[in-house]
Amino acid sequence: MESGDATESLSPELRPDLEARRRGRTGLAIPWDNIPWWGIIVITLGVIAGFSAMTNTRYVDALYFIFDLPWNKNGVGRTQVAADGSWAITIQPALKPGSYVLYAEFEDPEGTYAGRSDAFHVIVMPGAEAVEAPALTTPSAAPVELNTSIPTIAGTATPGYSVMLYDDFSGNAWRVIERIVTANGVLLTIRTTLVAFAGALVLGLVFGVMRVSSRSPDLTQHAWRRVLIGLGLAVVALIVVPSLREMPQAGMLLLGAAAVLFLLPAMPYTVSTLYVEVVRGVPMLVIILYMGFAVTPAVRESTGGAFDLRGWPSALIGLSFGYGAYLAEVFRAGIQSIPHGQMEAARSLGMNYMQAMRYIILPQAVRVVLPPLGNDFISMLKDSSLISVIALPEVLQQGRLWISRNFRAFEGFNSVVMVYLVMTLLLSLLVRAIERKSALPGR
Amino acid sequence: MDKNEPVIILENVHKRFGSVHALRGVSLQVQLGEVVVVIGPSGSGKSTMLRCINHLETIDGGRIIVDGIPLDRAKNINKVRAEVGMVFQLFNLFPHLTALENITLAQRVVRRRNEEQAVEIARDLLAKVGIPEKANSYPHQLSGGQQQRVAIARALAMQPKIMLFDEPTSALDPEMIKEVLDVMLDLAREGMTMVVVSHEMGFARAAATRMIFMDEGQIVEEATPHDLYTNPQHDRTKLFLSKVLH
Repeated sequence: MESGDATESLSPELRPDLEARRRGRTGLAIPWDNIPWWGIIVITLGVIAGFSAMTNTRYVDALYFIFDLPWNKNGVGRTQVAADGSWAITIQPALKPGSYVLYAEFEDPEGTYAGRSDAFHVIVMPGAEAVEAPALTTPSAAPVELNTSIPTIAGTATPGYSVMLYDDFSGNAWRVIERIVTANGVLLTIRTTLVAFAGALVLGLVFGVMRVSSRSPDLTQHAWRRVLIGLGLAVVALIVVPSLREMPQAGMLLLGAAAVLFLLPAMPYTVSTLYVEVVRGVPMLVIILYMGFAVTPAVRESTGGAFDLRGWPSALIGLSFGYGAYLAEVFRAGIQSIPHGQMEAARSLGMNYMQAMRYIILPQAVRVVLPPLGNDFISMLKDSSLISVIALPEVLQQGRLWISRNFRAFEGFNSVVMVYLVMTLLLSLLVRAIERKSALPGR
Repeated sequence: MDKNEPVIILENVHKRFGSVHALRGVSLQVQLGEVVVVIGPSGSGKSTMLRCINHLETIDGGRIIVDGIPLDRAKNINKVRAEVGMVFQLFNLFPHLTALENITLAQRVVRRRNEEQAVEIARDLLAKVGIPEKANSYPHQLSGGQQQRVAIARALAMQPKIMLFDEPTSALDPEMIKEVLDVMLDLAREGMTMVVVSHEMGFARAAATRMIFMDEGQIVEEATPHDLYTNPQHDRTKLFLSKVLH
């Protein structure tokens, strides 16, 4: 739309505010013109740095904990230096065969860092058992071969100090990568959101397409064929599973199979509506708790421990299941927004329903629903904080743990807020970019 | 199927939309190679009848037999639909595909032709409708007349026995109507069986072997274009023609 003569004749209130349109490229509540996308990150990090400088670096400590750093060393033991100045740490649990770089860090009674020892290079031999062995007291650069998987490191230091033993794997890229990928805190939140959202997308697509099917199909069409198939399946089940041949069960099976198959054309709409309405009507927190404390123990008991969903799996299933209902409605709306003529054109060319959906409707519908899906992804990122109630160490849980150890609620929660903000702001920018790229040509 | 049997038979077809009785006992027979033009006021059931032939609407009474196959007992309605091409008033091109892809998609997916075959047929058809250079354009880059011609090519790519046209030029600018009608005229001259719902009287006069006037869900009059224009039998026909021919 050009400005110019057309708009000059309008009153000031009606003229399009081109300045406002140009402003706010980021769309956020920042009153300066033309802030680039990376400006947000710089500002946020500046705020963090400012806070840290002002409040004695406790923010850095909190963020360190929330990000579950460090990623290049593991703590493998801790002890106090005895009155005679000696200390010894036996590494538990047992080390797997491989080469390790071990070193000790010292803290004074106030908790201030007081230096570190030189590194002990050791190799735990394959087949080493968890047996007691003489302590290693001299650090060495040349690797020492050990036949025990629970070596003891010892030395001398100032009495009353604490000693922490670390396994330093900064030289081993593979272990570093493994540690980063499995880290708690921020990375757990991101991992959970990505996987749970993928699951929710699948559930949403399936149930969304089911929701689009006819709400009152013609049940009388091919009814006898369906009922006979149902009875046939029930008979097969009776043949294969002898224990079902008792009268009440057999009767119920035959009746049930015939009824279900008879109602089959109405099933997609019925089942998907049940899923969507019930799951959307229950708070997300309740779904996560239900999954974690009701379903998981029941599954574990009934399968005799074969399916142990404790921890991450139950959180994933809970989040996926809960969000799948919302995404199903998003997909349904997207599919129904495609003009009916598209389906008619596809069917008149001889395509069946599945082909029409796959080649014509869904490709268009997906482009329409990408912005709402992006917003739902950001929502799920924030709702991932709910999995802290089943004690998963994601961002919120790490924050609360840090608070309970350091008794500083403001720093703790402000750090949690900053972490979520940076993630959601970055994602918002990404969603907006995807929105621009994916719009159907010409829209 | 016997050459002399009509390729489309409608017997006493009834269709209701809720309380609206859209088709009231329509009976029609179309022979192979005929061009039937259906005219009538809006709401007369012309488009509904067309869509019933295609099974885009199911009927509530009577029978429809297309290419020898009764539609209500067709084992695979999609196979029947592949033999009946349809061109819509609003084109209904697939906006996420180029013109070429619009034409090749159904060929590959329904007729199971391989890519080269489909593309060759598509390019020939695009040349035939007069826009070979627009093969890689998206629908939104084409004018209305060009879009409708791509839609016609898309329907022709399935090599159907029958072509149905539902007011193909009603949504076009006057300048573009001629280019679409020329394509339809060529098709008629080549012997394609066509059922056209249209208000284009010039086209009807040039191409139709038979014209049908419908009103309020019934066929009021059937005649050749010449006879219908010069000597309409029914008063309703006369009234409609007096309003339309100006």
